[in-house]
Amino acid sequence: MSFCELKNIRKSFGSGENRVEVLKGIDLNIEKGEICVLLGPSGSGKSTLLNIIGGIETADEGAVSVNGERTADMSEKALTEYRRHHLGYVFQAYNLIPNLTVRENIEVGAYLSKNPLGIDELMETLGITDQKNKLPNQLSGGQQQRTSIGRAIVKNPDILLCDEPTGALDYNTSKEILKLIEDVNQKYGNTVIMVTHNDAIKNMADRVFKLRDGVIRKSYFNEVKISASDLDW
Amino acid sequence: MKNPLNKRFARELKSDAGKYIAVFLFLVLFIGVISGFLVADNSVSAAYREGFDKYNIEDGHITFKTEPPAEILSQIEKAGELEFYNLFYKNEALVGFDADTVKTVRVYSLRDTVNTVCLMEGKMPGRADEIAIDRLFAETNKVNIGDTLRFSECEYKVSGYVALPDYSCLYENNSDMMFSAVNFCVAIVTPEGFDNLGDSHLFFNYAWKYLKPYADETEQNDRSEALIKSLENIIKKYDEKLIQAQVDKVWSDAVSLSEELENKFREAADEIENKVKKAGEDAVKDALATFSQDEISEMLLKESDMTEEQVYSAMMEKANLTSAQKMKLAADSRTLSEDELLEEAMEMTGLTQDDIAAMLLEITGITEERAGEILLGEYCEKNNTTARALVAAKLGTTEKAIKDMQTAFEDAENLTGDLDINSKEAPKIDFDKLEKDSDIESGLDFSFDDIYSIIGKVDATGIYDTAEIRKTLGRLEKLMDIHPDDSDLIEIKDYIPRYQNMAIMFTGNDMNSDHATVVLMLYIMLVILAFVFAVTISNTISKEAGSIGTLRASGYSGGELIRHYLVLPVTVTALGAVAGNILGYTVFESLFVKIYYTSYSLVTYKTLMNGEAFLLTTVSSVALMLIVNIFVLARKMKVRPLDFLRGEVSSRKRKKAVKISPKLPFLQRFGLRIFFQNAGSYAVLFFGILFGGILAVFGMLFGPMFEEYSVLARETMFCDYQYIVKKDSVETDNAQAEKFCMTALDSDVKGYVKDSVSIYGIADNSSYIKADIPAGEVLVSEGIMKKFRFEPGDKLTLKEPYSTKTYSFTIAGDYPYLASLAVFMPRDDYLEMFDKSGDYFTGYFSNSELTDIDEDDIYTTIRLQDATKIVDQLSSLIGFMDIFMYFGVVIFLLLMFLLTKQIIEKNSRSIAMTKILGFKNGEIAKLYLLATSAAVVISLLLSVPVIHLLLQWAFRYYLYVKMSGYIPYIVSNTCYIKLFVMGIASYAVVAALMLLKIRKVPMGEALKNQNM
Repeated sequence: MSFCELKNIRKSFGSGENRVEVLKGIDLNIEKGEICVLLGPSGSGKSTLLNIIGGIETADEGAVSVNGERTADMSEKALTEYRRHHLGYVFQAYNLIPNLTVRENIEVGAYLSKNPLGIDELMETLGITDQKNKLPNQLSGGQQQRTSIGRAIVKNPDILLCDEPTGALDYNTSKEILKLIEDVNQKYGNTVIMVTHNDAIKNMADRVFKLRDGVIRKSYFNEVKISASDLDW
Repeated sequence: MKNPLNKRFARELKSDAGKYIAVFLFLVLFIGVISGFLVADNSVSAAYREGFDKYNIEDGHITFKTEPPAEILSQIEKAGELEFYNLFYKNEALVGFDADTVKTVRVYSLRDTVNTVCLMEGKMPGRADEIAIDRLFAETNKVNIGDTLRFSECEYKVSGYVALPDYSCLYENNSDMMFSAVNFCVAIVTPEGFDNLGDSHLFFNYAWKYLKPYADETEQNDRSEALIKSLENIIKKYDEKLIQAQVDKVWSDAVSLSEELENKFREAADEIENKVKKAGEDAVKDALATFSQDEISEMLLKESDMTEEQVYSAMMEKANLTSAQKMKLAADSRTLSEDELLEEAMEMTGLTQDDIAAMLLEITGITEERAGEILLGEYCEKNNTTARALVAAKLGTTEKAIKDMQTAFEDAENLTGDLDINSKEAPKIDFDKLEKDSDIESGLDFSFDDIYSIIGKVDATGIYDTAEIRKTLGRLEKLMDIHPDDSDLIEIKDYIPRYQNMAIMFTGNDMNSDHATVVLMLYIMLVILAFVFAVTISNTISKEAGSIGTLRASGYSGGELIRHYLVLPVTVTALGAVAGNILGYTVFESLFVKIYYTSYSLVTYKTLMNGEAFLLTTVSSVALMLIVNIFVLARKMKVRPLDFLRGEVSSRKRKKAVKISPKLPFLQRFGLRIFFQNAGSYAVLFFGILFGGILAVFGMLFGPMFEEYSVLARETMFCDYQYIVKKDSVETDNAQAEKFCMTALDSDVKGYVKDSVSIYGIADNSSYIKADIPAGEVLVSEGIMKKFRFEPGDKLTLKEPYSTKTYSFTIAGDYPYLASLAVFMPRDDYLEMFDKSGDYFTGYFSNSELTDIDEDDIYTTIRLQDATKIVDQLSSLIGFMDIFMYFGVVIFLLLMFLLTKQIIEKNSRSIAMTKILGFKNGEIAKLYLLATSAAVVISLLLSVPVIHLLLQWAFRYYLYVKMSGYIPYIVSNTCYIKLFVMGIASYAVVAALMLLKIRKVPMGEALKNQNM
C-alpha cells in the first residue's frame, strides 16, 4: 500500500447546466519521501486535486488515504488535526502574516507541532537567517516564499503540499526555491506534492502526473531525475 | 511554546493605535461615567434606604386644620394600630430675601423620635434664635452658616445645615408637579424658637408609625385604605357631635325666645279681641239707640216662640206688684192698652227700661249677645251695612282689614301646635348634608314667612302695634338661621401614607429609574461597540483571508483563530473597563454624588464598593464583547480554508453584484458600490447615530420644551385672575367677574402616580370657557387627555382626597388648557354632582383685578404668571442635562471614526490602485467618502423621526406615568437642527482625519501580495 493513495477521485463545481466536472476519476499512488509533481495547464484540476489531498477540499467521489488514513472518513475536527500533524502548505501568494517577522512566521508553523524542527537551523537551510527579524513587506518575493516554506516545513510534516510555489517568482528565484524544496525533501524526508504548470519542473520529481481536463493523461516514475539547480526553462 | 500569533497583538495595537486608543479612551470615559454613577447611586441609595430605619422615618402623616382632641387621636391610633408623633410645623415666608418670589420655609421643632434629623454641617439650633436649614436650599440660595433668616414675626441665625429624611426631595405639596429647592425649605428650631413664630401659620401635623411593621407594599396600601375609612368615620362622628352641640344650644335659646314670643302673641291676641269686642258692643249700643222699646220687644218676640199675651203675663208676674198696685192696674185696664198698662206697672215698681229689657230676655230665653246680634242685624239691614263694617268703623279701620285679620287668626289657630318649639326636639344633624342644610329653620314645621304674614295683617288693621313682636321674632329668626361654626371641626388638610409621599419616596424611585436607565445605556452602548468591533474584525478577516486560509490549511483550528481575533477587542474592553472603574471610583463617583446632592436633600453617605458596578461595567462588558464577537467570528470561521485562500470570506453564498444603472455618473456608481460593500458598517453607524442622537436630543430638549410650555400655558389661561373666595356671599361689582365653582379631586388611574385635578363648574354662556359642554358630560384639559390616553366617550374616575368617595365623568372632548389638569362641566351638573345649593359658587374668573373684594375674603388668587411657576422650578433642575448632549457627540465621533476608518482600510489596495491610475487625493476622498457622507446624512435624517417617536414613547409610557402633572411633549425643531449640525460637524472632523489617512496610503500597497 502506498503512502498516499487516491482512488477514483471525482469533483465537480456548479450545478445544472453550469456544472463543470473538474476531476473525472483520478487514481494515483505516491510513496513516502517522493517528490511528486502534478503538471498541467490552467484548469486541468491540479490545484483542486492538491486541495483534496490537503483536506481543504472534499471529493464528490473516491477516496484519499494518507499513511492508511482515509480523509473522507474524517470529521472537520479530525481533518484539522490531520493537517496540523501531517501537512505543510506552500502557496504561490506566500500568505505570510504581515505584522510577524520572518522568524515569527516560521514559529506559527512550529507552534502546531509537538516536535518542530530547529527554527534557526531551518532558517539557515532556507537562507533567511539574515532576514529573520524583518517583516514580510521588507522581503523580496523569494525571501517571502522561503519563509513560507519554512513555516510549512518547520513542523516537519509528512507531506509538503506546494501550489505553484514559483508562480510569482522570477527564473533564478524559482530555481532557488525549487532547490530548497528538493533540499528539504532530502534532508527531512518529507513527501512533496507540488502543483505546477512549468513543464521543466517535472524533471526534478520522482513521480510525475500530467493532468488535462480532469484526467491523468500520463504518469511515470523518473528513473533519472535532475537536480533543481540544473533545471532550465 | 507560546502561540507565536500572540506576538501580533502588540504590533496590531501599534499599527491600529488610532482605533484602539479611541475605543479605549471611550470605554474608560463611558465605563468610568457608568461605574461612577453606579457606585454613587449605590452608595447614596444605600444611605437613603438605611435612613428609613436609622432616622426612623414615618409610615405616613396626617395634617389637621385644628388640633384634634387627644381622644380622637387615640381613637385613630387604636383603629389604625399605630402611634402618632407630634410633628407640628409652621409655613413661614422669608422676608427680605428675594423680592420676586416667595420662599417658604417649613419650620419644625427639634425632633427626637421619628424623622430624626441628619446634621450635615454646623450645629443643631441650641438657642431660641437659631435655626438649622435644609442643606440643599442653603446651597441653592447661597445661605451661609451664621446668616440671618428673617420671617414676619422673628428672625433666626443659621446654626447649621441639615437633611430631614422625610424631605429628601423638597416637595412643598405632594401634588406638586416638581420639587423645588429654590423656593421651598425645611428647617429645625428649638421648641422656644418654634413658639416665637406665632401660630398664624401653624399646621397640626402628626406622623405615624404602625405598631406592627407591614410585610409588603400591598399590606401598606391595604392598611392605608383601612385607615382612611376609620379616619372618615371617627372624624365624622366627632364633627357631627360638635355641630349637634351647637344646634342644641341654639335650640335651647330658641325655646326661651319662643316662650317670650308666645306670651307676646297671647297679649296681642287678648288686646285685639278686647278691642274688637268693645267695638262690637258700642256698635250694638248705637243700634239700640235707634230703636224704640216696642221695636226692640217686637224684634225679640219675633225671635222667641212666645205670644205677646204670654210675654205680658209673664212680665206682670215678674214685676212683683202689690195688691194695691194690681187693683189700680185692673181699674185702668178698662181705659188703657196692654202696653200702657205694662208701662204703668213698671212705673209703679220703679223698673227701668233696662230692667224691662233684661226681664224680657229672661222671659224669652234670648241671650243678651243674641239680642245684640238681632238688633245689630236689624240695624244693619235697615241701614244697608254690616256688623264688621260697624266694628271696623268703631276701630277706625276697614272692613277688609278686619276680615283679613280674622282669617289670619283662624290660620294661626292651626299654627299654634307647630309653633310650640318647646314640645319639639332639636333637629338631628346629618354631617354630610350640613353644608346644604345649614339653616335649621328648614328643619322646622313652620316658616317665619307665615308668621310675618299674620303680623302684617294685624299691622294692616292699625289696631295693634306689632313692633315688639317683630323684634322678638327677628331675634328668633336670626338665632335659627345659623351657619355652623366650623372652626373647631376636625378637618384633614393632608393625609399621606409613606409610600405615596413624594418628599420621601421620589428620591428612591428616581435613583432606581436612573439606575435602570444608565444600565440600559451601558448595554446599548456596549452592543453598539461590540458590533463596531465585529465589523472591524470582519474587515480584518477579509484582509487576512489568505493567511487565515493558510493557517487553517496548515492545521490551525477555527477555535484557535477565533480566540486569536478575540484577544485584542476583549483585552481593550477589559482594560478600558478596569481603567474606567478606577476613574469611576476616583473621579466620577464624586461628580454623580454631587449631582444627586444638588437635586436631593440627602443624608450623609459612605462610598461603598459596588460589586454590581464591577459586574455590570467590567464582567458584563467583557462578556457582551465576547458573545457578540464569538458569534460574528464563529460565523466567519465557518468559511472553508480554501475559500479563505480564495478571499471568499462571506459565509453566505456569494451574491450577484447589485445592478447599478450605467447611466448614473461614475462617482455615484462608485459611491453606491462602496455603500453596498459596507452596508453592515452603515447599519451599525445608523444605530450608533440613533443612540448618540437620543442622548443628545434628550440633553437638549428640556430647555426649549419648558420655554414653549411656558408660552402655551400662558396662552391657554382662560382668564387673567381666578379668585377663590372663602364664602359664597362675597360679591363684586366688577362687570368682568364671572362666578364659577371649583373643587379639587385626585386622579385614580391605575399605574400612574396620583394627580390633583381641578373640577370647574362653568356658568352657561361663560365669557371665559368658550365651549359647548354637553349636559352630563365634561371637557377635560389637554393634559388629562394626553397623559392618561383618554378618548372622547371614556369615563374618568376621580377620588375625593383623603376619602374613599369617587366621582365618574364622561369625557366629551378636550379643552385647550395647559396650566393644570382640569375638568370643565356645566355649573348645574357641578351643583348636582357635589350636592350644592343653587347659588353656590367658589370664586370668580376675571380679566381685571377685583379691587372691591376684601383681601380677607379671598382664599387664593391664581394669576396669569402662576401658570408658568412650575417651569421656573423645572428649569432649575436641568443644568446637568448637557452631559447627555456631550456624550451623544462623543458617540458620533467615535463611531464615525471607527467605521469610516475601517472602510478606508478595507479599500486601501484599491485606493493605492486609484492613485497609480492617476486619481488625485481629493478625487479619491470623494470616491471613498461620498458613500459614508451620504450614510451619515441619511442616518441623521432618518434618526430624527425615530428619536422623536422613541422620546414620545418614553414620555407617554414612562415620564407621564412616573410624575404628577403634565408637560406636553414638545421638541423644538432647533433640537433636531442642532443634532444635525453636531452630526455633520463630527463627521467633518472624522472626514478630515480620513483625508489624511487616504493621503498616507502608499501606492506600493497595490503592488504587494495580498497577505494578511
